[in-house]
Amino acid sequence: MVSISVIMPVYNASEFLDMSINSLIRQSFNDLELICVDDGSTDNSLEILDKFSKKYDFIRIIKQENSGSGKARNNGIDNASGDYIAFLDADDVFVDKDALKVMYKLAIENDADMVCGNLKRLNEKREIIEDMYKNKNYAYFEKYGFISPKDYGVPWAFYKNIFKRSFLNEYNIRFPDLKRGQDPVFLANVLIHTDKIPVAPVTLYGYNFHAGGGPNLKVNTYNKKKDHITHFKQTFDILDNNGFESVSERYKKNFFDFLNSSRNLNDLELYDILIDIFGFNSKYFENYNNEFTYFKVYHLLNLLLVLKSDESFDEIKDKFLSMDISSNNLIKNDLKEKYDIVCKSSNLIDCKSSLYSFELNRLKNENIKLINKCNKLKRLNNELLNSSSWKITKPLRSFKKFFKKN
Amino acid sequence: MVKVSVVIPVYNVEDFLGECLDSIINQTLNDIEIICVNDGSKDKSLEILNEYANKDNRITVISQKNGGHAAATNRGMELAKGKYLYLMDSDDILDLTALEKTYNLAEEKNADLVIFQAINYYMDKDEYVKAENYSMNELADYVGDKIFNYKDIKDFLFKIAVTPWSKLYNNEFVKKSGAKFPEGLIFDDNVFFFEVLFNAERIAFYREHLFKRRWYSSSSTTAGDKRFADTIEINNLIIKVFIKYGLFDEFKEFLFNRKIKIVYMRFKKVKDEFKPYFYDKMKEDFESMLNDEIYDGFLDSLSFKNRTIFENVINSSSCEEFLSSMEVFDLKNKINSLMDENKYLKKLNKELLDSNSWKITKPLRKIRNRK
Repeated sequence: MVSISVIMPVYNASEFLDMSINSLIRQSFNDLELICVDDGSTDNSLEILDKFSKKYDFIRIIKQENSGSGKARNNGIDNASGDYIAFLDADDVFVDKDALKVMYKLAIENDADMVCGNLKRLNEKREIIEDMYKNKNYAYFEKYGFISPKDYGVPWAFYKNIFKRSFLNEYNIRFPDLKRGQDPVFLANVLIHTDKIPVAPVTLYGYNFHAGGGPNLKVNTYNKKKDHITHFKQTFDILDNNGFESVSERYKKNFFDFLNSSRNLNDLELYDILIDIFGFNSKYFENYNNEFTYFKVYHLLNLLLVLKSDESFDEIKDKFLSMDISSNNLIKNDLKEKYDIVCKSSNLIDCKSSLYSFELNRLKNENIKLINKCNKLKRLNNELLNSSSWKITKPLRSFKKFFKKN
Repeated sequence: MVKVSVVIPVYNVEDFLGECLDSIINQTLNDIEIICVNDGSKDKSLEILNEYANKDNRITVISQKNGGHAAATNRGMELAKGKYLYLMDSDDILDLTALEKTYNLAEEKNADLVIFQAINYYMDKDEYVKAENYSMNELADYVGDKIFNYKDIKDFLFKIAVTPWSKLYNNEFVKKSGAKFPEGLIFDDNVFFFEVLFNAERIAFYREHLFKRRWYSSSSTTAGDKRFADTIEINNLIIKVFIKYGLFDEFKEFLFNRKIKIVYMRFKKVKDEFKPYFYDKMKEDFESMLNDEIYDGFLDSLSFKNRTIFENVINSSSCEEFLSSMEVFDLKNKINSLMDENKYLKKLNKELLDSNSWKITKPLRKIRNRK
């Protein structure tokens, strides 16, 4: 029986294991076990884990067939013997060397279900970026104290905290079987079941944003998108049904920031999935009516361009007519004009033709504006390069170049 | 038997036929037969052919009802009895030493096929211009003097000119291969070329520009008329040839992209009045691609541009709509590159203004401005 079980799901992490496991070894707190759950890696991760476990006997390896990091972590929790559970991903690090010691002491002193630490991000060179995540959004703590679960905010970054194992088991809190977004669901379930949470101004966790190309690039197949949207609904439900409505509303704002970002706005699959999961007139977004309508209008306009039948056109036109956009400050300018075009068109062909004309006009104007801007800049640059100031100082620049070469 | 059979399909080329025939009858290799197939010309072409035939008994003139370049060439090939075969275009000019040089090389190396280089002749500017597509320098550098077959040059398969007139063929080899020109279609060279290529065991490259390809506005492959839509069927036939010789899997990604790229390129060159016809044919063919198992999963192997073209063809309900959708795509691309240019110019501007040179000379500018 140890004090802390650290759980690490491992999948094809050979590039990172040295870094992550060594960061744990550097922790001053040593009454711990590291449970590495290999999720069916196909590279030599297992060999590396074996090497470490032979050298350090606090390291245990569990193997499972590839089933995702959620199931891997659950497997780890089920096999853990520590009073408290910490999580370390195979491509991340623990940072402050006394972090676990400090947080464990607080946990025992308060018989806490959960203790919060801080989170930092790693850059491409695996160095810590000091100023990231130092805000309310990531529940950053500058001094010791206590917070109520609602003050934690959006249930992100579960891994910067440690959890009492018996508490997790009492409420059967585990990771859902989703390819994306399991973390917020897990942490939301924790937050609704606990009360006073001790917090410490120590950085437990270093998040490697660049491993695997960064999180945003990962949400890309249909199933991953579906799970991502599903996790939002699950999290909203957990929060809404347990008195955490204000947190839920904040998370809904994040949801729309994600949906209406330029990368995702042209993704018709996301639209289909969302409508499927939440419904066209979803009550979830009563307080985000403008954002939701914007999202629907934008996608329906894209959908129109690939439609073939007049029936579907009528359906979409009806949806447009039923929306009240008069007070929607997000639907303006070009988007509003396209909305009007749809409402005024009588059939699909006329509608498409008008939309195309409008779009072409807009693009042509933008094209001309940009050409003018570029020409202006070119003239400015030429003036600078032909100015006497520039010509006079030529010898200085030649000298500098010569100096640099040698 | 004669050393080389020259086959010339002739259709309405009274302006250029004389020059063409002169370049053949005056070849330094004179043990040749010249088979002219008059494909139902309506101008003075037949008269010119007969005039030449009267003066040179190596020339045979055959007339047939208009059937197109492919039909006329196939007919001529059937009648050819020489050891080697040369397929001439009636509006172009062959270098006078071409047949002798390529014949000698073919004999020396026992070649099925000798490939040589051509030069472009732009009539309105009276200019001769070399271009890589007919010079094939990459291939020439790679093979040098060696004898090769298609397996040796897989990286260059699509870098060889498909035109029949840039090659000397061993006649028996061609007959055995069964390669023919697909009748009723333009761009027919493509299909014949690949069939011959995949059958040839011994190919040689003669590194000299021995042919002048004439460019003028009314030839069938530059006119941009209805027949341009034949490119769709030709690309399908090319794919069938690759399948026939077991090369499809290896090249399918390339072939898919090539098909879309070439078909769209031809579509853009077609005269406006024929675009709706071409668009309808494209849409019909592209829709059938979605159901054809040969094309399983091809959408993922298309480049972003080709995929956009394909989807726009399928999703548009008219040629006009398709043209608009492509105009939108092109504009968006232009805008993206303008944005990049803008960013770069701003950066340059800032660098200049932040530079030491500029800062040092500030007092000088102040003085001048005060004046």
